[in-house]
Amino acid sequence: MSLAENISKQFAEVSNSNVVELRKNAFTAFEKLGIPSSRHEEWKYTNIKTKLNEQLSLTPVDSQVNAAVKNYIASLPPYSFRIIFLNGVFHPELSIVPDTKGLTVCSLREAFGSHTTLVEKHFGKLINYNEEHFAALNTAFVNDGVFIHVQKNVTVNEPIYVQYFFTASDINAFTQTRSLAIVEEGASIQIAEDFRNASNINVQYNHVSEVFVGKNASIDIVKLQLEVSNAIGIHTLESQVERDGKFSAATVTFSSPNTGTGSAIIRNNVTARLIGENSHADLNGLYFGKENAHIDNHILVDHVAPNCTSNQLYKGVLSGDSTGVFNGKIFVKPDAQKTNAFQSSKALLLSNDASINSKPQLEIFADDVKCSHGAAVGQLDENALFYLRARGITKEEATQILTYAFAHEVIDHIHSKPIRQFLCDKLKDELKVNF
Amino acid sequence: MAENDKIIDEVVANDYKYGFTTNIEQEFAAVGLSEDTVRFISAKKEEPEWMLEWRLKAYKAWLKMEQPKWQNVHFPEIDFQSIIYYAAQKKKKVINSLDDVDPEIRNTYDKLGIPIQEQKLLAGVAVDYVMDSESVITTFRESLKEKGIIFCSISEAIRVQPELVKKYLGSVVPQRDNYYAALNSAVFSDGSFVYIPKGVRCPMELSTYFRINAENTGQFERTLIIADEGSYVSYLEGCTAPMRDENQLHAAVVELVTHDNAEIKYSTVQNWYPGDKEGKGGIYNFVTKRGICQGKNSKISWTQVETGSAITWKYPSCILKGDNSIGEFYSVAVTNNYQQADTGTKMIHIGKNTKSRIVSKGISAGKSQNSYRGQVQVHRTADNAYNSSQCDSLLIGDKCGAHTFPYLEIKNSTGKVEHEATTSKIGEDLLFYCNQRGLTNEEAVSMIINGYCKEVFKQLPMEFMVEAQKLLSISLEGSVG
Repeated sequence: MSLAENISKQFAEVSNSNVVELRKNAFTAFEKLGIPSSRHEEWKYTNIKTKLNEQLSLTPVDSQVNAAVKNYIASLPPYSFRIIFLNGVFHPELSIVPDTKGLTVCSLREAFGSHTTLVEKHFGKLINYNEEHFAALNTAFVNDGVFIHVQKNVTVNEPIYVQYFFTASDINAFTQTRSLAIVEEGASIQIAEDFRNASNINVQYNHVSEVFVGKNASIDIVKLQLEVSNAIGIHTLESQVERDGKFSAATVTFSSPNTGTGSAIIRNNVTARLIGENSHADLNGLYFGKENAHIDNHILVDHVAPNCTSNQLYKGVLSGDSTGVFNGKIFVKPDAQKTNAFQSSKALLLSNDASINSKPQLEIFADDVKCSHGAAVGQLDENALFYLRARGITKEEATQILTYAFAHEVIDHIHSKPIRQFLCDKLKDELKVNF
Repeated sequence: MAENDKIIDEVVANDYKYGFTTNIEQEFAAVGLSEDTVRFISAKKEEPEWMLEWRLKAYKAWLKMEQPKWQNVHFPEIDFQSIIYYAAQKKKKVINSLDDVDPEIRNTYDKLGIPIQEQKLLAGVAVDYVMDSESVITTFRESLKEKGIIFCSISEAIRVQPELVKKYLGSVVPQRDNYYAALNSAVFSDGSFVYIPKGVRCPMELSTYFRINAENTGQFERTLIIADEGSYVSYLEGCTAPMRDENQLHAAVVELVTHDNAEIKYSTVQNWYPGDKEGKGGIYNFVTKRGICQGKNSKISWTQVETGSAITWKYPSCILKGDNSIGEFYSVAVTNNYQQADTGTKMIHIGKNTKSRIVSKGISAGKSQNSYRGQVQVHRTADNAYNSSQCDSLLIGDKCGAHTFPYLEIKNSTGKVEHEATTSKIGEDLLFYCNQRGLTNEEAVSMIINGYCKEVFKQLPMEFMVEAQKLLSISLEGSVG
């Protein structure tokens, strides 16, 4: 049985009563699209088709909390909000959600029942399931995820920490999770989404986030993919920003040593659609590739309204025989005059077997704009290395210091202090620097 | 200011000034493409058997291929069976001097502003005129012959230099390289062949002018330039075509080969009919240009100024195979009204210490779409490869589009690749500054654009530089204000 047939068979078994119509449409679209091969322009450098197991099972399997999960939760900073999922299933006993005025945080399953109108108005509205293979698949099969709603003019100061653990013992599980965040006019919030493989086998998952930024509202999202080895993870983050709104997203990907023989593939699709005047998007990313890790970042900033600004900063450090892919697109629609859009992609290649494929892309249909992109691939500055070594620092240490400085610029852009601190520590561990 | 006055005069003259038809008796192949057409062309050109087989191989490959659809240009489906694949002048006589050339043709070139005598005397340019696929005359041949340089039409080279042609034809752009290259390989009618022997520096700029003349004939030119060890040649290609209503297809193939320490400089000014203001008519320019730096320390430099054609679709590329070889690409692409351009380059680094440089300037006006598409590949073997790319786009008017699609594929950690692109309109402060000093808007824009393109223009040989600046002003006429 082929993967497509296998998936079709399973869709018949999805007995969810919510958003049935949407699921059906998304599924029909997926049947048409299938799993993309490397002949598809958007998947040119990431051959996902040959990497996915044909026997994939899309129905979630709940599991018990294991030691790895417990240890990791204990190591987390004391976040006020903590939402934990195991294999795509919500675990309220592990989560902490204090009552806060003007803020709703609950599982998506619960929200389908308790916030039906709000969810139905927004769910699936930012996804173009006629073109995006995995977003279509996710829309058809999604089981659970997180729902966040911030009411008008409410500022939430503490970050909402959402943790997705994979503890599955089923090698065929393909977990479909989803988050939906709605931030009303003048409100602001910070969200962190953390994905972690706490099992000792290869896992596959497909996550979609939809984010609505209201007028003069702001959202900071940090996506943490701190142990990408032994996982195939596909992430889609779609956002829509209204007048004077601010959207900022940072994607941080670290690959840990590969313990198995499986693939380590991370694909990120991040889209910011600026539909209201004077809105702003910041899309940043940092990725460390090791061994056979394959890290693919696809970014799209769509300038629909005039007078908007956007910034992209992506930095990568690749060693082993890892591969990096960067595709950053800036679209400026005919009405989006006075747009300022910038993009910068930099990659350090630290070994001869590492490679990077970069495709920064501008498509501009308005004339009164300032758009630029820069892409650079290279090594650490010889002069900087020499300077440090002349001061008695070993070559190895000097390399670590400079790499830290190179990577830190991205972390610096993260607004939430606890998350920034957490990542700084993580970066220091990764590079074995201590200062 | 005299130069400026001239530009304004030409701007006022308005319509496509090279739109006229020369009435010369022609001999046509039957409409459409079949194996017989290929055989007919080959027979007409009195080609040897191996050449016919080479063409048929390409034709068979073409039959199996599909028209590419990935490019960022849109046009109605081309009916390859409604094209005449061969048109040659009927009366063929041996020509010894320019005076023997058909007066009609002489007249045509006079209208184009290329007085042959003057060029011959003043510019020192040997011009290989190609009037609808057939070489009319080759000047300066004798003086080139003295140095051992071969500069002739490709059909003549097939007859006289079969060994060289056999060795190099299709070595850079194979028959099955892409849809249009396969088509060209099957039906190419004529083109230029240049061979520069070891250690020879070609004493003059070699040049051809291509013209698409007879109605409904696609022009399938084939150019092959070989620079042997330590040699140098600069080659110019300039194009203008008469006004036609129906879209005409042009699918040329250019192949360059440089051996150790050799250098080829290839410059193009392309000003084919771009269609009228409503986007009707115009040339489809689908060209495959590629050079290979076969030897050590060799260099290939492409310079192009693209102002014409309804659709321009070409990527002059360099394969940097020899160690320390250098590839360069300088381009100005201007689109106005409904023109579409998808152009750029490929730099493929294979050898060690190879360097490449890309400078692309796009200007879009009216309702046109202008795309830069470039690829830089650094292979595992290419230690210390270096590439720097700069792509700037200028937008004039709010109905046009400018797009950039760079592909950077780096597989060697010692490689350095830098890419930068910007898109903007002409700054109001710049215009204001010029206005303040008594320049009209049109003059100011013309001056700013020429400054913007200077980096590319200065790569062109002198006479082309002047022509390119004039072309730019004519192409953008009416879009400023």
